[in-house]
Amino acid sequence: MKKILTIFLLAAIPALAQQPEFTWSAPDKNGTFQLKIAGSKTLAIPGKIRIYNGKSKKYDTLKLVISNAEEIRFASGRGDYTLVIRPEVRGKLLLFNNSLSNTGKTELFLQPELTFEFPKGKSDHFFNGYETLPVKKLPLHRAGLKGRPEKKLAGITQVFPAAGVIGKDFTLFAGQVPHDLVSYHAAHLLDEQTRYRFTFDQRHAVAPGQTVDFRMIAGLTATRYGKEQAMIQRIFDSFPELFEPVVGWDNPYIWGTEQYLVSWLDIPDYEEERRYHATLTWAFVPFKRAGDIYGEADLWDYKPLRPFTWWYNTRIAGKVFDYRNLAWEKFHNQRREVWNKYAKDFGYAFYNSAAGVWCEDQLAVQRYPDSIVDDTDNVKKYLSPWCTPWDQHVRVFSYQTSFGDKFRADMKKVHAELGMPGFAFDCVTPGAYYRGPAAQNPDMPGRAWDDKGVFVDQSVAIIKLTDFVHEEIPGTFVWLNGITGRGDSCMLEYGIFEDSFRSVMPLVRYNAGQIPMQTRGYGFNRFLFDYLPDWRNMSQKEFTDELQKLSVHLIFNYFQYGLTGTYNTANGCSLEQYIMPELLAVRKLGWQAQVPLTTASDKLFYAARYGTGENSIIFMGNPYAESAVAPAEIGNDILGEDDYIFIRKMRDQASTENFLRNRSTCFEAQLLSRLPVLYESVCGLTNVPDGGIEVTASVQKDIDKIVYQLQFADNAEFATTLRPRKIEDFELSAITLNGRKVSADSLKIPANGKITLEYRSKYFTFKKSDLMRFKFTDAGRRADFEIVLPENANTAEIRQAVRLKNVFDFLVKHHVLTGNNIVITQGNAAGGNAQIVIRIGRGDAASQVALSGNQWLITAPDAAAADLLVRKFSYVLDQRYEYIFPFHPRAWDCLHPDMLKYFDLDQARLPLVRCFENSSQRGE
Amino acid sequence: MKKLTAVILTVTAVLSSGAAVTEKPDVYRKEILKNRFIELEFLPESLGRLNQIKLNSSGRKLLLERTLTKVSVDPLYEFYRNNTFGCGENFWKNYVAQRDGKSRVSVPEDGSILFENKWYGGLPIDLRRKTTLLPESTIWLYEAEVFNRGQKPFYLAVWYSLTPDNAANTILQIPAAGKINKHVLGNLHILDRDAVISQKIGLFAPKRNWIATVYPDEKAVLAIIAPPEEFFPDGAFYSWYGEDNRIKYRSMEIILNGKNIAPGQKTSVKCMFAVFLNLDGIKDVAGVTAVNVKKDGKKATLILAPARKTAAGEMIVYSGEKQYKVTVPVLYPGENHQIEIDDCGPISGILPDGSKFDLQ
Repeated sequence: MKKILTIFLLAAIPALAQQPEFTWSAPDKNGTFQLKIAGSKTLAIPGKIRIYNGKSKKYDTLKLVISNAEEIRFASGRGDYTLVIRPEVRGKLLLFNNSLSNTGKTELFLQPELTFEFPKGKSDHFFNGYETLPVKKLPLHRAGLKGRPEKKLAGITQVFPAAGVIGKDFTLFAGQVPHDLVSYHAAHLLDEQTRYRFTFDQRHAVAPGQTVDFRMIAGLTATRYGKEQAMIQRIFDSFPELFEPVVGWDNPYIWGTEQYLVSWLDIPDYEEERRYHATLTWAFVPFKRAGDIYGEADLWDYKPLRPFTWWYNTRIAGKVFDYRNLAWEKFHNQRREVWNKYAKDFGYAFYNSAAGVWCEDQLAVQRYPDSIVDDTDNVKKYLSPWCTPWDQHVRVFSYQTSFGDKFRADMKKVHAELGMPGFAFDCVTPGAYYRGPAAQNPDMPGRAWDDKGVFVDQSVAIIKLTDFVHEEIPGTFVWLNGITGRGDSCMLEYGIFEDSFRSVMPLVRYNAGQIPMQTRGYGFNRFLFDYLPDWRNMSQKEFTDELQKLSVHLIFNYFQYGLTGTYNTANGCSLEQYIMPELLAVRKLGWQAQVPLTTASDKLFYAARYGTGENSIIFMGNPYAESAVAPAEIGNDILGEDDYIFIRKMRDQASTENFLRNRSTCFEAQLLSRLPVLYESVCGLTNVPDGGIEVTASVQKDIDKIVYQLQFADNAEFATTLRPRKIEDFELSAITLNGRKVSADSLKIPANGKITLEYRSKYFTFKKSDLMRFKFTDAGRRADFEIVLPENANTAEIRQAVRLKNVFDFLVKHHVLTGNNIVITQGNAAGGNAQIVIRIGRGDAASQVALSGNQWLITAPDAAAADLLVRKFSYVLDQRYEYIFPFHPRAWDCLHPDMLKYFDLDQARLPLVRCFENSSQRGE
Repeated sequence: MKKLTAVILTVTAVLSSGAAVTEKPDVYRKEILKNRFIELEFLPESLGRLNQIKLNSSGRKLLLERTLTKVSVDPLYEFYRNNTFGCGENFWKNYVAQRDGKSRVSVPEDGSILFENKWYGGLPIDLRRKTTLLPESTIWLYEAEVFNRGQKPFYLAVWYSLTPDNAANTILQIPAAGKINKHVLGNLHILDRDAVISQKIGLFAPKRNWIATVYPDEKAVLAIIAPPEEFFPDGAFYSWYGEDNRIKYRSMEIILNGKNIAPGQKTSVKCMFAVFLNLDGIKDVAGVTAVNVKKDGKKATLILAPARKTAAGEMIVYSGEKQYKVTVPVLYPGENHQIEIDDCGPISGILPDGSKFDLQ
């Protein structure tokens, strides 16, 4: 029966484009299998699938019933259940698709386990799903979904759903498929003489007649470039669809910054938010009573625990929602008005009673008693006060309960009425056990067991709720505060200066995968009083030098983890504002766990990777006072299947010499002191000669065009296919080899060959020099041009005209320009003056901005396309008229007014080094 | 390029992504004030906080000390972490126990030490504290002068804290007042009646003007004694329990009356600290003398333990409705005087120097 399969036998499975590094044998009659790595460092890992019985407190005997290419079926010794295993290779790991079927008459408490033996080494580590520990004293256990079982920070420490033992050369890992509905899993490392016993298990309660499907994963990989990072990356690579935004990579809201409640409490300012790159807003508590997010008429009047009161979020977009005297009709009218006006421009995400985790207590008791969660596993059952400070809130379970049914209906109802682009899911963490009536329903997914009986973790309800949004309200993004569920964006509610931040990173990033993340914590305000208690005895220079260092620390951490978090630290910090386009661009390529970078320098402290294959970008951060130039080597086999040519990622021009050999690329890395440095892959080569190749990559970037040149050295001719990188908003227009147009496939590159990759902007047909020459202003630096719309201009045209005018109004307000003579005309233009002509929805197929003489022509096929185009054009205009926000605070948590006053910094800015520019073509 | 290739082959360092935070223990500079009984250790880099009290007779150190750790997240973000211990001026509503700061130090020739800080603890005040270790005593005085250099009134409620070493073998004594429902500091424990608190944590209204910790193994009592006019009616006691490096601690803290200092104005604050030697319990403090009592049926032994030399004289002891006149000799720290009382009731009295005690 024992049959050895190799990955190559399974090559028919399409997912095998990426292959694991190991071979494996299918489980035999005892459930035993093997993972094996051949070669100079041979390793064979025996593994086994077994079932622990939670009622008999013993391992069950399993008898083989069927074994064929599709499945291996076992029956329990007592004949009360069957176990079916369907192994497959998935990406770079082994996936066990399993089923447990209860054929008896009583409920079963079963604990399927993957267990392995792994040889001991001298300096091994154990990643338990939460933290990576040196193996000193055994056993090591991690049980349940929380990395830290205590109340504080427990939820955000949700474990990554896999664990592994990390040896010097190899890492063995096992776990489950992310987001699977499992309420309990655990990892253990035990001492077995010369070997470790490593086990990953889950718990399932299986009712009579029921079948529970569950999945487990296992893998063996080389320990390289870190510790747990290798196994996390293998899981990322194997399930990319589970780590990316469900709403897709092109959603217009999720990839920008968030500016806390700035655009929610006050009347939002589009132009100002654009300059902060804000695209989404946490629309906090747009309701009177938690659990009644719609605001039903029959639930409107009730007696809260404490009197209704004025609170900071009873003002929404400048409108008063004072529940002491707000009538039901007025509430709905006002809410509709606010959302209709601002929701789409500012990415309002409707805050819906956390993620259906909390309900006003009286409402839950009266209407949804079956939904109340009593076993809170060290987290709170009641919150009082919380988001509506007049109420007490009780923890509820929102799946297959009366509350869950109503809550889902309400989400659809508010969406139909308000049309919000997203939902804000607060408190999305595991760690409360629902044991109510729905947990006893055999059809409830994720039923687990413990000494008290059957329970379902609240994460099951949250995952189902995120799925509900994506399935039932498609296109609507889910913004998580926490890391449970399929989110499209993820907020970490700790600031980078806080100990808590360091204690949960990179774990949170591992769970978030490639979706965008924000950090929302304290800014400079309170922090600086503790960090620099003697600030009043400092000179202005000493103080701003410290600020500069802290700002760079923030920037490095943004790049390190793919975070944004600007609203309370950016003002005055010029570099933090300057790097934002690059930060957002790399984050949109998708953060990766494993950074295959080796360098000889001790100056490299921070490094991160975004994207895969030819779309990879490597970030390097040198926090020391001295710059360094250091040899760097990129492990291409970690990035993808090809070999990659790298170049410093700059806004204008760059050049980098590469040496490619043995699946690695070497170049001299510029480790600039206290500045972020990015290297981007230009392209992948499917074949590199054994002796290696030398190639110098250079680039010229302009608004309309990007041209990469690859100057190969005196290498022997070689054949390869070239895989050019993708560039957002640009299309590859031509590839030439020694001046002749060629296809990327099957190239023969001669000695000293020169390849050119030319990309054209999808939107802009003018050069930066055109932009810099254009006369937007008169001699007195007053904006002086005409925005020309067609006769009877449509709403979209008027809207974009106003937005463009606001770009210049902002510049006047902030004294970049002295005044504004911009005229918006419909129909015949006055002529003579500089003009911006806008045409939207008038038969133009392309979204485009072109320049002809003294006239800009902006065309877009529809209103949505025009929104995007004019926003992009506004960022282009920023290159001409650069504006860096000074320290003057935009929110309460920026630099404290006492400090601003003491050092006279209100209108000051930290010095800026333009680290992403080589040329001197500056804005005004 | 050839050179690059050669160098690459020698590459050895592999980056492990993510910042490696390092934490290293560090130490504060110290200043010492001492006499033949005790040695006081201060931290001029931590706002002149009192860090340690050492008994010269035994070498016993009475306090858990302020610890310092240098945390380096990266070369851009480095800071010192402390455990907030040490006794300097902290303030209700302006908590600066975590904050360090270098003081200007001067040592006059009168057995005192002077710490001066501009913008004390990052607050808009200057603070100048003179600490005097009285000769031939186990008493030291804090005399602080606070100047408001800000633009707004500064609310000053001085808060002194000592953290005895350690809660596992010392006994806290908080003489708290009962039946007080309202207090300016708020969040008080509401007690049914007056009580001596040893275990509870939090804020307590004061019945007496002192708070103490007994070191039974050392036969010593450490006390903070507030001038009544600085302490009543709005002052309070505070205590916090916790563990630091697995050592249990229970703080003894005293918060003085609050007052506003107008911009450009200054005010002064005083407080007394004492160690009473050869004493294993305390019921009251009268002037510079701790008074303890041990009862055996209707008999009582009154123990007077001075923290500095006291003159001989006659004291009055009230026991229930009885009154005794007792002659007390000259006393020195550690040389206590015992008085036997028969058929005793509630005891109170007046010491030869006129200070009163009440042991009810």
